[in-house]
Amino acid sequence: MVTSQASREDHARFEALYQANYKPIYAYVHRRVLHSSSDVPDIVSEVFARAWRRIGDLPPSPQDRLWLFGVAHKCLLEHHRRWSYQLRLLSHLGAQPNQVEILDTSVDPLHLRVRAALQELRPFDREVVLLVYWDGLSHAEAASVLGCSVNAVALRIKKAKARLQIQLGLASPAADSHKDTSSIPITPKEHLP
Amino acid sequence: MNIESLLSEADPALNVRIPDPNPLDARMISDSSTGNSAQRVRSTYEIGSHRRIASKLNDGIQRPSVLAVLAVLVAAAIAVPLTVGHSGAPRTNTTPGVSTPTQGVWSLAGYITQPGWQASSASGPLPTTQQFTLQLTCPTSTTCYSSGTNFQNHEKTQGVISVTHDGGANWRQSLAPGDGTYFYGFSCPTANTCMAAGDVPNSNTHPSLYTTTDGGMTWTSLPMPGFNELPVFLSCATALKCATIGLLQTPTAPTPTSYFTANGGQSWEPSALPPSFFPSENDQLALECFPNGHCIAAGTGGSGPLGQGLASMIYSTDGGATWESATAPSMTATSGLMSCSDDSHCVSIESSNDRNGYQTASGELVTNDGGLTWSAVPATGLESLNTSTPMSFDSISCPTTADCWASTHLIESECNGSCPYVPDQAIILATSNGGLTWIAEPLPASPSASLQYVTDYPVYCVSGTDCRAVGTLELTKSASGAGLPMVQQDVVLTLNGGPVLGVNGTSKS
Repeated sequence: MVTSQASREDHARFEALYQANYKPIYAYVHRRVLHSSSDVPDIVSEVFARAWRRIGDLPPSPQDRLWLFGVAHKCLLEHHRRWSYQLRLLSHLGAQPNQVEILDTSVDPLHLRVRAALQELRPFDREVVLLVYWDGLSHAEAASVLGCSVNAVALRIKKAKARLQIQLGLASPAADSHKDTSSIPITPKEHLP
Repeated sequence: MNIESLLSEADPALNVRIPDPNPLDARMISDSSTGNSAQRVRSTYEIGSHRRIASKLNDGIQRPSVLAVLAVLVAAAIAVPLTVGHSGAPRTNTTPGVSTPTQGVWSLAGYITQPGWQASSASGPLPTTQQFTLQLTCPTSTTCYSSGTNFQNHEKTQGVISVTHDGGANWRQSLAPGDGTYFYGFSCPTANTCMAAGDVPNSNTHPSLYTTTDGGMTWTSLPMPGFNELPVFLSCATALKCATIGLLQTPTAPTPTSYFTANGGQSWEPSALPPSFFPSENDQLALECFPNGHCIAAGTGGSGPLGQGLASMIYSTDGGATWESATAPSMTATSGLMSCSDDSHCVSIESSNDRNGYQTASGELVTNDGGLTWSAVPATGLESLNTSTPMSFDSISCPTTADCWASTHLIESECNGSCPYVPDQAIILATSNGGLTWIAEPLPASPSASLQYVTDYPVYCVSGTDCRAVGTLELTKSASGAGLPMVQQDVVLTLNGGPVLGVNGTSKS
């Protein structure tokens, strides 16, 4: 419990934590609430508020960074739950939710296809891929955030990449099992619907 | 361009300007003694553009109507799981495609309860701290050890091992080091002796071999060789002789490694694996060693960019000191699940990616000579029960030369990101003729109409009449669509009955 007598060291540690991790946490949250990006600042603030309330329990660096990702993960689950309820409410009442905020209309269509393919992964597989390729966590760090084994992360990554490659037309199913796709040239035009 | 580059470039965070941290915001949060006001702390330039769905609600909808609907939904969410208890009238299991009756009868043995879910059972719940159970092994009919994760909250996520000595009526938490250790390899040669390989992610320390010789009352730990080496599989034929197959963790190219010990982990020696062998990538055991020094392992013949390869089987006759490639037919595989009833007879279910990238069975290999030669068998029934729904395999246990059980799940989540997540459907398949034909066994009715079994692994069978599995219950699609809160609850299933189809095999010693 943080009291008004919180030590100067606590304040200093928290501000350093905030300074070092604000942008990664902001990006982490942004990537996962594209449907309501205006909520990102609120969620990020909640993550750091929880960190401040538990400042005495925070693990030492660099584990505190993973702890923040874990808290952000939990905050997002709560956000999605609330969002889901709100959507249902609007549906029941015939209203329309805010449209997804288009932040950059010049997004490469191929990247949109990649994001769509990511959405088709199973939720746990998708989260593992995002943690590793977007949030820059190692397999071990992703395992720590998700509470699973490193082996499970490696397995999920491998399965997810295989499926993404097939969905994106980078590879065929089992028939091409030994083809090296790393050098297959592709252009966005070739792979647009 | 490869998939890694595509993924990185598709990062939506690259399309927005991530604001720099404002020291004043940090000060405002930490100056609030409870942090409650922190939710209102926002970077000033963001406030102007802030829009919330609530404002839309306020624009055109009567607030009392919103609150009334919200109240109904919340009440339903709370009341439905509570009122539909497992003490109610039994229901018929609705597992699709499971119509063939078998002699085995599965029953619900206990729950792992989680916050927000009030179901309970008087018959042997696992400790509430254990979730995401990955491994289960029962050296006798009364003693079982299970390895899982304590995921009560993100701050204290860690591995945990639980034990029962009364056939599952009572479980207790046996080992939870509390330092962030997760358990990987897991092997229990006797009721009192059990070993587990543990590692703390990101610690840059040696993995540890945890050993109990008193039935899980106390554990000791010894360092295992290697930094950043993950002992994926561990098999201990006795309290002294163990072998591991693992991976040297690197971000892009994990390297297979192998070690063996003949003195209970006091010292380890490295051993060379066949060049093309890559350990099977799953959480279930794919390595088995026996007291006579015979070891058998399943893996893949390489880790190509697609994750595809061929089934690769290896064996050792000296406790893992040296390994040889077995003779096996060419079979596409990205992972293999293997179980041996004795040092001669093993069954391995191979999986690979189907046309949609799902992991489904690509075939079945059996050996009757200790893994030196493997042959493909027809494996009738391993294909999906429903041709439109892929089926993925999770674990296998063969207590006799004839009887095996495999836990699988139908992959139901076919949506394009816009539809609700559809839970998987857990299936248990059984064979009584050494893996030639497999049939689905009905699972017990779920404790609530709003729940369904989504997984039923790991499965472990002590004999042809005594099996256990740890599964997971989640909301059905309709319950999820109705707005019930998310549920994920582990359950213990037991099987007591005669051998499937009445074919007797040799009991596993």
